[in-house]
Amino acid sequence: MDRTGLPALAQRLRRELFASRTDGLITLVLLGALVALGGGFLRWALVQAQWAVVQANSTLFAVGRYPLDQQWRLWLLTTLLAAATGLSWGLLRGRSWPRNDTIAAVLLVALAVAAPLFLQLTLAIQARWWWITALLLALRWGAGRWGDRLPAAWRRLWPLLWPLLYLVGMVLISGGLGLMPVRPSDWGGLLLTLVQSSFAILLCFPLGVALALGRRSELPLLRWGSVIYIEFIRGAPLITLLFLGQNILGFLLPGGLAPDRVWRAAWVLTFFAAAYVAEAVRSGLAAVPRGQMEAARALGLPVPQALIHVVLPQALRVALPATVGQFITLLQDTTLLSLIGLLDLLGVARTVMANPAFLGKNAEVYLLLAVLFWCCCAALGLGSRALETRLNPNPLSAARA
Amino acid sequence: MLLANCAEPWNSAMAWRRPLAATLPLLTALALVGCASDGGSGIQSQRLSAISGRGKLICGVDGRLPGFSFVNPDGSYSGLDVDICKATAAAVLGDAKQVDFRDLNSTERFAALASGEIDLLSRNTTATLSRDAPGGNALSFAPTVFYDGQGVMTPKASGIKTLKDLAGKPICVESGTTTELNLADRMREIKAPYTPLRFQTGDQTYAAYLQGRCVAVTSDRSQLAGKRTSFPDPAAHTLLPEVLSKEPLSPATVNADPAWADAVRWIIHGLMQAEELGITQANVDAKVAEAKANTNLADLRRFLGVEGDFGKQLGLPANFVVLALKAVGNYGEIFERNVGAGSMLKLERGLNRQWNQGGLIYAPPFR
Amino acid sequence: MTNPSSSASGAVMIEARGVEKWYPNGFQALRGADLTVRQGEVVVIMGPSGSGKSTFIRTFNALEDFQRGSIVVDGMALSNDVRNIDAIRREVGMVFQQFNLFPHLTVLENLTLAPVLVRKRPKAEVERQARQLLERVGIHEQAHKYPGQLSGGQQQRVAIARSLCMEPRILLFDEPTSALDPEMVQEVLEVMQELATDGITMVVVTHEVRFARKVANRVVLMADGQVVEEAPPEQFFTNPQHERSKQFLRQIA
Ligand SMILES: Nc1ncnc2c1ncn2[C@@H]1O[C@H](COP(=O)(O)OP(=O)(O)O)[C@@H](O)[C@H]1O
Ligand SMILES: [Mg+2]
Repeated sequence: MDRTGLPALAQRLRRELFASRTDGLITLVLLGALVALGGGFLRWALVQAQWAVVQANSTLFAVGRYPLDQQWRLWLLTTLLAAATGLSWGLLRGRSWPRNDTIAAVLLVALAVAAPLFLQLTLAIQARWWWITALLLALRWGAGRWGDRLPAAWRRLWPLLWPLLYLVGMVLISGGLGLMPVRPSDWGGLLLTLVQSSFAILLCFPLGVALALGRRSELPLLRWGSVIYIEFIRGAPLITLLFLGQNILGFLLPGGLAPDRVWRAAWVLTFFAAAYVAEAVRSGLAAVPRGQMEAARALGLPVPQALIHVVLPQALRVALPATVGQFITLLQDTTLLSLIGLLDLLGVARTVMANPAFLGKNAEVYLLLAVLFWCCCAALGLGSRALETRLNPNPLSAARA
Repeated sequence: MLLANCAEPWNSAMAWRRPLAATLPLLTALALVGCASDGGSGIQSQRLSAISGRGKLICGVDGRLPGFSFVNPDGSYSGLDVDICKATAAAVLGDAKQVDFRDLNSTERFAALASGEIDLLSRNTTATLSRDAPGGNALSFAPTVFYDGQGVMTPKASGIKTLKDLAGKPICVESGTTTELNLADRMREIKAPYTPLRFQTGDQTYAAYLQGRCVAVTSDRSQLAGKRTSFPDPAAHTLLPEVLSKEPLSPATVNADPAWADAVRWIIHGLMQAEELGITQANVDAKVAEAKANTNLADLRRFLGVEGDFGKQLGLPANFVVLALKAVGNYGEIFERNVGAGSMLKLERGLNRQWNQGGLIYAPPFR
Repeated sequence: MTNPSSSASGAVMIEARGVEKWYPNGFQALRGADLTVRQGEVVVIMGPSGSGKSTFIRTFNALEDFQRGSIVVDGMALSNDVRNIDAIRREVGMVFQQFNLFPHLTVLENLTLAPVLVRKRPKAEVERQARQLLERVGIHEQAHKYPGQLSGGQQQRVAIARSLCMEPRILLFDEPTSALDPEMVQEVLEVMQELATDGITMVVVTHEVRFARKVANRVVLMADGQVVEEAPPEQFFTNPQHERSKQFLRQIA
């Protein structure tokens, strides 16, 4: 591609796609199939599909039955999230604008213009999305340009913005501290899916690490407790655990004492994912040579410190891909919540499809769901890959031990 | 791929229904122990005072059932089951808006009721002996609000008018279901041999029907009507008059609180009686004025709470029927609006007509 | 280079008496091993593979426990009391055959981790000392590299510097050069030799005869979980008394 211009491109295409007669044939057949499929799909999406079901229910898909007069809180949260994203992005990259960033920025702008238009949102709400996107990109630019003028302590502490924002977000969503409470049963759609999965992801991780360590512990009670827990959870399908959680807690804790159905489900998801994270971390721990612990202990580090500073950082790096895989599964597993009557994305989808006004629009609704889930999972995957490269500045070091 | 992925949880849930169902009797037994002390044998219903106390009725619905319960784009609930909840809230609390809806699936609905998480189950539940009996699910069923049953749909153009006309013709059925068995039984009874075309899923079944591979398709009538709305030309298909099975769908409460069960029962009877008397959402105020003006209309005065103490006997406001009617209209109006001619489902009243019009809707006297 | 006369009279740093150890699988690795190491002494332990050398020196800093006998390190009797163990480990450094550097930390961080965490010393001060130590072992240019980017010899020198950064009174070496390519052995031995001249007490498991001759005050031969011979290096290598010693010297010659 460096050779500039079309001839080079043509040459490359020729080399890669039409190197021999069979190659050419395969390319042509695949291209034909692709065009036929893609064309069919496009024809359906543009001509046949009736997107009114998505347009009319966009609020429902986004936030479920969240009270209309309180939705400003979610807008505020979205704005804060966009601001934090822009800031972090800018601080990470500094003055450089790699090509990926440009692509991402262009995609964001395109999304901000096209999606609200497609959803036929009112102009006022369209404008909100433009403004939020503009804020994100402006902060990306500003933080990249002037971020290095911040005091060093600030630059070291900015990741703390995220946990802080999470707490602020939970307050904004659920109310309290002077805000009108919005019950979890009124959360829904993408909002509920994200709250559930982020809650479970954040909590299952420390829990999983603790379980993995417990499983390797020398204290028999701890070890067997961990083993039984992990094997029990891993032996049971999530849906049965969700049902158990919903049904049993209602009996065990009478009346209002039992946590709300939404939180019950969130805890079940957390405990479920923790067992799998524990297995991922355990394989990570097994990959750390025994000598590491011995060296740390020989240097006088007590076991907890040796774990925190020597063993776990190495183990978690090994376990990261599997763990993120688990997180992505967790995100997809939130669709099971619709089976216990929660209005998560799939739950909303199913109630929308039951609206006689939109009966039979399953394809449109499921396609929307697929796209939304794909976006969330892709974001998780990208984030983890970035984290992996950041955690591993020196690929050689992992090999040697 | 992506689409298949989304549909997957649904399938796996079906697979796990069975083991879970096995644990339910245990859970219900637990609940019986827990609730035995709740009493409710006295005249005052604990449940009723709990509802008044919190100012909300918690109503379990399906939430994904066309015509019966679903969420509108603005987040509000609609449907026949939903209207029963609203009527009850209006009658008890004076405000139809004071309902918390809980979407429940078929496995957890009874547990939710037994554990006291919901006050009222209004979720397409077929009343059966084992669900009613104290040794079973120990539910207390309110009057049937929708007589469903297995039906048969055919294209209008086929000229088929009764089941007998289907003799020798192919019929699409979902394999391994009770509907398949019911159809076979009935067709044997009326000596009309037919060719069953079996399919694994509902979607395949209806697709085959639409392609004309069979001249009829069978399922519950409310389902058939729901599916019909998504057909290219809904008006070209009709339901045969025969009903192949009995599915009386009734709201339910727990056995343990008979006073609350009575209150629900008579609120629903009130909706039915109002239709019989010609009282509608629109004219209920006029009827009340009329009853107040004319002391000779003793029955009407008692029914509308202008005189007598029906409400008090039930632990409800004197004008509870009026409150319910103002909120959702009488039974006929509820039916028409949600599943009948006024809706996309366009179901015939059929068995759900008033008793004096050849149906089964029959409110006992308000005396 | 060494000063045997002064060290021989020094205070006792390690006193092991009749140490017996069984591994959890029931194998007895030590069968009554004895050893006395005085302050400033360099003791080289030799012996055939599997004779219990590693096991023995690992009992000195409680990486392995033992069932019979007694070990006193710098006046502290080894017991199963955890606080006691942590105190002893602070006094006793160890260098492993496999280096066991922390691959996720830079060279400098490898050195500073323990002093900052365990000794609670200020980071800047520890870093200054660490750089000096790195200079002393000849790798100060690599302070910000990761262990994986260094050669084996460099890694082992970092490992030595890492132990020294804790300012131990005793250094244990478990075959520090066995995992190295031949051309790198010398650089590590030179560093060790220099340490010996500084007067730190060292117990070294190694088969490097030249190192033993040059640096050691005493050479100890272990066989079958026991110390079978203990002699000054010249005497040990030229005129071994014990049959096992003769046999061993024939093997490595
Ligand atoms: N963890 C262990 N479990 C059981 N046996 C062991 C263990 N470690 C070492 N051994 C055995 O103890 C004996 C002494 O081992 P070691 O001290 O490593 O010998 P050396 O260092 O002299 O080669 C060997 O026979 C070895 O097989
Ligand atoms: Mg060894």
